[in-house]
Amino acid sequence: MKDKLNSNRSRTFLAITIPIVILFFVFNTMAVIQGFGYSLTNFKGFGGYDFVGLRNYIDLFSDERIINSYIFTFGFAIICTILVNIISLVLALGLSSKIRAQGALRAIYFLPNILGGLVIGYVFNFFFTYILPGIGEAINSGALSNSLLASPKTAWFALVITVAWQAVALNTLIYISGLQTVPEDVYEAGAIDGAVGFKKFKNITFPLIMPFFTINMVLCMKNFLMVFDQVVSLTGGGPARSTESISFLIYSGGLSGGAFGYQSANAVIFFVVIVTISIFQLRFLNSKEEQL
Amino acid sequence: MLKKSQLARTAKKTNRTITFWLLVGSLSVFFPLYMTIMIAFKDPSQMSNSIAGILAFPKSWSFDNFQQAMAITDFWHTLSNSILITGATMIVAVIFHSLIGYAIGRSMQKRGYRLLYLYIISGMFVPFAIIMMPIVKQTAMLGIDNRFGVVLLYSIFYLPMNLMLYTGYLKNIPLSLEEAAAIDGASTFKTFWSVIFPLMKPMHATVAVLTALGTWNDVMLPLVLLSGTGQNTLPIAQLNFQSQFGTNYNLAFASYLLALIPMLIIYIIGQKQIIKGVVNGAIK
Amino acid sequence: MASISIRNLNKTYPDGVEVIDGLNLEIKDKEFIVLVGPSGCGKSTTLRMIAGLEDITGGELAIGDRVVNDVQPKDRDIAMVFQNYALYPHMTVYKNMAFGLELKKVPKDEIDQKIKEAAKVLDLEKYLNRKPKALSGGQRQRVALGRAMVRNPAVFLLDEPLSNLDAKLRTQMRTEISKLHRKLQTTFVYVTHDQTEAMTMGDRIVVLKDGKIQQVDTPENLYNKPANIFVAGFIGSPQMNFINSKVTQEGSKYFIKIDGCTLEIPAGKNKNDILSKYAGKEVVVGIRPEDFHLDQAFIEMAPKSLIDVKIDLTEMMGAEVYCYGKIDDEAIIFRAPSRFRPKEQEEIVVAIDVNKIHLFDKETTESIII
Repeated sequence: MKDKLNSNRSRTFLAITIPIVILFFVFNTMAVIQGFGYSLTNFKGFGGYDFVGLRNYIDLFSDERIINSYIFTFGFAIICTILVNIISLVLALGLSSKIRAQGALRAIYFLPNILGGLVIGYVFNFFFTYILPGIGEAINSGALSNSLLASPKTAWFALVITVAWQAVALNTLIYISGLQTVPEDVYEAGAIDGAVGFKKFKNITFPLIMPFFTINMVLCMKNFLMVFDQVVSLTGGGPARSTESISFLIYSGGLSGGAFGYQSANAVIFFVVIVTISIFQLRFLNSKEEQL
Repeated sequence: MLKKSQLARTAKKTNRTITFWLLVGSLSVFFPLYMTIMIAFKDPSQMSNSIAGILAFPKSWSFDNFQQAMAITDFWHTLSNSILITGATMIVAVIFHSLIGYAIGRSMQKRGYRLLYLYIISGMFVPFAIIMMPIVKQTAMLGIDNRFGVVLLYSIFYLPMNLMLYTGYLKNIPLSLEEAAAIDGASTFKTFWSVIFPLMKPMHATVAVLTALGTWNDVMLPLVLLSGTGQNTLPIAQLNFQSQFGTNYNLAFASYLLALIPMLIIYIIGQKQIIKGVVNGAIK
Repeated sequence: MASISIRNLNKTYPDGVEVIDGLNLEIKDKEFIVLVGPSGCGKSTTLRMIAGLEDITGGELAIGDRVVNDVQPKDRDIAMVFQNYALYPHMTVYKNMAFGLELKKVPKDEIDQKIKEAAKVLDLEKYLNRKPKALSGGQRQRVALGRAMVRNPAVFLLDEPLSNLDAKLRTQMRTEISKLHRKLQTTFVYVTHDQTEAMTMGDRIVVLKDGKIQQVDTPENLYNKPANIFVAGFIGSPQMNFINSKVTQEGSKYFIKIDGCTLEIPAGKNKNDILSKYAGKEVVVGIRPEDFHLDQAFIEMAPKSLIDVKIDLTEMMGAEVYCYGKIDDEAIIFRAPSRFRPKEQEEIVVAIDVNKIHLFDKETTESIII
């Protein structure tokens, strides 16, 4: 199917591609470029503005609020990624073993994935504000009787739990489908070689589901670095701005805080960070895939 | 000796033990939902200060909270907006993304198309935060800061992922089918509709599920585009509701439950398809 | 109802690779012609150019009286059967066959009638409402044939249609396709890499290598009178043996020497005294595996063409034995009736049937005598 005889086909393909690519360029690429443009101005989001060069960028690096939000977001993403992957892996192993009502249990554990993060945030907000301290009081635990959300030291943990509650669902499912790719005879061969229990997991199962581990790492990091919905509904960035994620800060500072240009610079930096991490992770992913 | 036999027994019954613990664990999934339901059906006077009071079954199951929440959030209108936006995006994604997936996927022997493919795929790494503000300006300028604009933008934001899924799937469809269609006298479009599109069915399911889940629950885009237009989606309605009536928990939870119910119903009906779709999308 | 003439056909891919180089071929009306050759020889490309699935870089292609270089596949009055059948998986057998006719806007009852007819011929009547997935390999193959049949084309193009079938089914389908050809009285162009298929099915066979035609001939002539070393080696199984040798002349007689044994070339083979040009020159001797003889009668009759062979290995095939051995360090293979099974490592005497030997020019690889 080549060359001029199929020019009809090529022309059709071009006619399909061009308009869609133009739309993509306008609302994606051009928006990125514009965003970069705004980052060089002192635009408030309304009214006039001046070109300020790289001043926004220079200011960013000495802005404690920005730095804190980066520290918070990365810390949150890393802890959440680790926690979610451990829980998911355990759940996936459990859900893959010979159990009763396997289909129903899998469906139940996947349920949180389909629910909206915002509403779940509100529900957990109530849970952390009233239920958990109530339980704490009932069992006379001083640590629990205060709301996690009330203290800047503990609010992040409430956010981790809320986000993890939803994220575990998808990761578990990905691990389950990973476990399905391991052929039974590999386990049998391993059993003959004496690989049972944790040894079996460490030496056989885990290496074989490595690609799925990588997928989960990539998915987690990307999603958690961009966390927004749950921040809005669970903590609102508080208390004392201790849970302001980068996305939340860009939104609140840029759209309602009158620092459109300044937060655009923040967004550009954030973009560069995401791209760097993604490329790094994809490289990693590819090298892993070649090994297998 | 006793110990040994006990061990042997537990080893045999492992699957029961695991089943038991998984059932216990599943309470963590149900508890928030249970809590939501209990609170939503009570009126504030039943919410005694103890958690037992909060979590107990209501004395009478009352739908008053729901009626009130529906009135405040303009529920049916909001719901229809959500359905409209999600449905339209889903249809656009399945039709147009598969079409461009076909066009690009079958032209990959050309360098230009390969670059184009990488260009669009790289769009996956653009965080919404960076384009959020320009998008607000652009859509306002073009007069599409409305439901149409939201659908258009979703269709563009989901293009990279869906393009990747469709072109990936296209590799499984042998080229000789299209050649057979050419000999049968089908035009390129006819070949797509009659041969390729039906064969992409498994991927349509994946794309539809992923796109729908993403758009249905999304907060950011409708938040920045639709605020003040009176055309809320379900999540945005909750956001607005919360800022006004957040302290009336019974009312609020009735509203949350209303927002969750459509998805819960769809999940109960199409649970297998949804799970399959999401997994396919994540692994590919 | 259509002949095909291919004149000076060229195919060069955009990356500069030339796959077909100046191909000339006249295919007669109603002929069953087979294009055969090793993979990459350009046989499929040629077929796909006839179908209109590949562009023609240079030259001319005519179906009937019409030059079709720039005609769309659907307007060429051809039908094609693909290697992996290319059945539309989501359509029933009926719909698969109807699709092309529907696109041509053939009336529904006419479509129905044509499909019923084809289904009857191909024994597919029971399966019309099934999807391809629910059919066996042989049935799918028949559906692919049926899809081609209902178009009522002037030319049938078949691209390795049997290569996905198991050995037994392949033999069976071979005869069915031959029967179909006889019944339909249409031109068939058939591509295969399997010389057995080519030999059993083709009226004429086109042997291709590196985009060039090596020989076009009937199966008999291809086997008995190969034009060059490639054709001689490609057609026939086990392969023809090739042994390097030298032509010597004594008066009007010509000899070749193999491992100390001097064989006289029968004078009848030396047409137009062609061998005079080769006196004293190196040539390649070609001997088919069946032209070695072990039976006493033949050995006694041909005392001058005896040769020593050291047997390495024998393969029992049932009625006969394939013997692998060495003559003067050159590996050869010959067939013998199984009652003559030699022992391994044994040195035996065999007689060569000099009337059947072939000589090839060492440089051009062209046949000298056949």
